[in-house]
Amino acid sequence: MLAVVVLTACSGLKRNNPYDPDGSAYKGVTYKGDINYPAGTSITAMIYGTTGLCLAGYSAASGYCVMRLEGTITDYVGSTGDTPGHFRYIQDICADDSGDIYAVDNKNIMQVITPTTDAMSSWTMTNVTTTVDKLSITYLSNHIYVSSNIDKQIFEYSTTGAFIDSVNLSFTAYGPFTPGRIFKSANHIYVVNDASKNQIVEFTPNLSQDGLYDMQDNIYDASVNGGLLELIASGAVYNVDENMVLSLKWGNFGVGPGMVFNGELIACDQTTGDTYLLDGQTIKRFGE
Amino acid sequence: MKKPLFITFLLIAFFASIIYGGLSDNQQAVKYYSTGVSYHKKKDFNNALMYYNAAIKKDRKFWQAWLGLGICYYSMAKYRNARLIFSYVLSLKPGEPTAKKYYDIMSPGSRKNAAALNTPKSKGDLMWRSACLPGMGQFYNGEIAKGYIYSLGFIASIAALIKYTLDENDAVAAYNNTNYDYADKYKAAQDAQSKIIVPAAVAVGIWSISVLDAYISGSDGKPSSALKAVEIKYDRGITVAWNIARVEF
Repeated sequence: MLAVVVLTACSGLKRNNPYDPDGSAYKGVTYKGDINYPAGTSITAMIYGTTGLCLAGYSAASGYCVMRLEGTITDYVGSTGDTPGHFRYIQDICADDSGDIYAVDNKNIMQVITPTTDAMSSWTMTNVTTTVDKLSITYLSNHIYVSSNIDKQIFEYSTTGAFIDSVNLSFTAYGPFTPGRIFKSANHIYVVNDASKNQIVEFTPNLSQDGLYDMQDNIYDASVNGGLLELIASGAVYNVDENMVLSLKWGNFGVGPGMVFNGELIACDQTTGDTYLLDGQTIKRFGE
Repeated sequence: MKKPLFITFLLIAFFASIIYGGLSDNQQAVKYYSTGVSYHKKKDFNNALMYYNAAIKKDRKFWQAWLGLGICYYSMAKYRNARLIFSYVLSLKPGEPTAKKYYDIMSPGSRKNAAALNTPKSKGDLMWRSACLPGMGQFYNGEIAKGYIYSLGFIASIAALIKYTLDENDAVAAYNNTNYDYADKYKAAQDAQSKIIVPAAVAVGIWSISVLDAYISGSDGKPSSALKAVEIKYDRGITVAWNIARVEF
């Protein structure tokens, strides 16, 4: 009888771990390991460009710069400075369809990097007030969108720097709004309230407000992957559609390296579908 | 005419006193006693008990009836009753050798006690004990070595079973709660689960063997040819009873 009691205490083993690609309950997301990047680097923005993972921040090797990870080699573009070709407190980067990388720091200057040659050019962001505090940028359909927390506006430029439009974003139905991180989907751009990161405002490409969402979690960054938006919060990733309808929450299951503890930034490789997360000081790769 | 009859009665009384001399002054008690003895010889312990009791009721100091009663209880494996009765017999007749012999072998700590208790036990008594805990039936039957082997083997296998079960729980939890190395952790959980089978099989095996052994070792309740007849003689050298006891001295 004792043996029967003990045997009934056995846990039933079923291969239904939701992250196990061979499991019956697989969610389509598997932790694939960490990405090495130079020690002593403080990352403030991350995208996956045509040449691979691209980081912006402060590097012990080159100061404020853009870093393109090419296997074990890191290509540093730019250095610390206050003139074009240099950065100070680099804040955000984005890439256009051709692979050019756009970067903003504490100046009202947009700096453009051609990844194949590392050549840099720049243009002034008209109407962006100096001194800049926080800027965030994104690219959609040949336009660059810039959010400024001091101006409390969203600016729209061409890729060559021509000012197109701007919209005031200081108040929503939820109350005061401070434009923070800006990101895109296939047809919209979204701005996170820097003072209350669970609030997101949706715009059409011509800057007409198209939605307001309360995500019930603080959203720090987002990226498009396979037609869905992947929003990163501190402890999970939300896969949502353009209307912020949730299809999957992941990164919050289990314990160990594949867990999202302190999510900050997210980037997606559109070719492989892999997702890269900056989790504290670690870049983690997930995919099917 | 009356004189020869009287002489005849005296002779009968004389020979009766020789035959049953020192038994009891109560003739009815002696009669019950002799009937009890006859049943006892036939191993009809229940009837023997009844007549011994009847004799005792007639004469409470009738130590031979008490002795027969004690031996009856002993033969029926009711040792607690038997021991008390033998104790009483010794109080009635200090140093009575038969009562003393039985009393001594049933005294706690007596080496002979184990032998006395080695009387074959019924299959049922042994089997239910072994079914509860392997080895217990063997201990009860006086098979100490076997009892230790079965009980310790079973306890060790259960301990291993508990350990492997806990390990299996940990391994399954590790797989269920991981987000990396799924294949390795699933394999580890499978291995941990398969390990449980070994101690479980050993435990079941020991349990089965112990119960089977109890069945084989147990008595089926029929008189055994190995039973040893013990002739009990009382003072004056008169054989008052042939008491059959299931004991191997």
